[in-house]
Amino acid sequence: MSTTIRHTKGFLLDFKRRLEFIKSAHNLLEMKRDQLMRELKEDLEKLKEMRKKVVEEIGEINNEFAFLHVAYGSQEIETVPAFLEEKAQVTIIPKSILGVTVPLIKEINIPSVKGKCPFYIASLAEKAATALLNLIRLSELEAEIEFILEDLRNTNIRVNALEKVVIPRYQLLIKYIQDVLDHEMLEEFMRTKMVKNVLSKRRGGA
Amino acid sequence: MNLTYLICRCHGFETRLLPANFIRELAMVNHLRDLLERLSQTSYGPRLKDVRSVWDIERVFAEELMDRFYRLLRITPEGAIYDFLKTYFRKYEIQNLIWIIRMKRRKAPEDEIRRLLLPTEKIGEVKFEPLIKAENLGELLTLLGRKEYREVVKYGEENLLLIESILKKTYYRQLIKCLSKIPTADRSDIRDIITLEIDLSNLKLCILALSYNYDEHTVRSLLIRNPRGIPLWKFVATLRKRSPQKFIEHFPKHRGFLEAVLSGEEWRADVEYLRTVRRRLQLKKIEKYISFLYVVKYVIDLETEYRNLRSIALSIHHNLPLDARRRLLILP
Repeated sequence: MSTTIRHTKGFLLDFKRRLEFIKSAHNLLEMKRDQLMRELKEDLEKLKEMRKKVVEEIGEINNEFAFLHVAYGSQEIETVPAFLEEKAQVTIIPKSILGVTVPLIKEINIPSVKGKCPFYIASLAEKAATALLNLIRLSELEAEIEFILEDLRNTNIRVNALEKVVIPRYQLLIKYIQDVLDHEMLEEFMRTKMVKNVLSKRRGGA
Repeated sequence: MNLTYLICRCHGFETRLLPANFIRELAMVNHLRDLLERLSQTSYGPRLKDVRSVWDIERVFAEELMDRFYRLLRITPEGAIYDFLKTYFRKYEIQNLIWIIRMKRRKAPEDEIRRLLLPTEKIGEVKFEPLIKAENLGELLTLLGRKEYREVVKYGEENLLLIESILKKTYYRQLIKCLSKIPTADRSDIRDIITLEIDLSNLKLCILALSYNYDEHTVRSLLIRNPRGIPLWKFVATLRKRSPQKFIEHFPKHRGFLEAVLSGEEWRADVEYLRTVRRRLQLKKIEKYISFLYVVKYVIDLETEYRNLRSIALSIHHNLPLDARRRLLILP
């Protein structure tokens, strides 16, 4: 916003135009904020469900693991990962939600454990593979929520700044320029009237 | 030193084992420090002074077990009995070999592998150091192939489960060979135990083969020939039916064991198997007071005590509920 203010009609019109633009931007940002809020609400619902599921799964795995650890000892359990040669791979691409870039997991490749590990640990390994998959999906959702929240915070700051600072300031400025212009117009009118009076007096005197 | 002396010493050694009630009390403890305090009054006490973690505690139990095996071997008369015991203890070497192979596959550092191994130096003959220092799994398997484990090379590096089965098969083959040299009077009771162990091992292999779709030729080469146990053709014939339920139908004697394995609770099957062995030995013990069976019973009691103490320490570490801890104990 320009700091030099000239009390002219042109300036007033320009400010009015700017105010209109700012108001429409404010409306758009408000709409974006509401939409982000809706997205966030949906995501939070999903997160709640997913987290509950993952926590249950991991709790179950932990219990089963504890049993196997106790039954077979540390050395046996520590050497079991040798049966899994391949590593899990995740492909992530960016995705845009209302202009917010969030990570999207395009492909998850968790190596199959079937037929590769000792029989006593096969069921646990399969459960762990499923839990890992859900954990990755959960982290994707958490990242999305984090990015949306960050953008929502910024949008909220902008909406508030426009609503509480920028728009009122513009309105004040417009009112001030309008007042000055009105004042000048009145002054001009008075001056014209006075000149007219003087001129008519002169004519009458002659 | 003769066999009678060894048996009498085993009667004496038996009194030093931790009583079942004491083991039950240990299982009720809530903290590892309380466990250590209680064990400080036993023969484990001096070794447990400097332990820092549950891993160290496990290590101490293993060291004590190996020391006791060594003490037993020192008083065993040379000959068939000595060879049998020495071969029986090889299962711990086999276990070490399996762990080395797995860690080599994981490309683990040498120190990490050394840290894992059971201290079998006193009771075994295998020199693990060259195996640990092998560049990779291929070199390790070549080194093993030069010894009595020629067959491991045949299966390559692809399937570790097959290599492990071959190692176990080699162990049982040697054990049966040594068993056949023991005098008949002492042999029959022990043979029952070994036969049962091999049968269960074969059953486990069949379930694994069924689940992982191994071909018949592979299964045949992995099954352990058990002269007094279930014949191999019976396993193969049941396997051809491609149904786990058929195993339960054809081997009803091992129903409980098979059900536990099929339900994915193999540990329960193992615990149940050890309980059965102990019960059998307990029954036979009453009939014969001076018998080699007593030595075998002492060895199995030592293994059970090691397993129980390890289970208790790890249960406390994982804060398992008391009923779960009791389920994992092997007690009369």
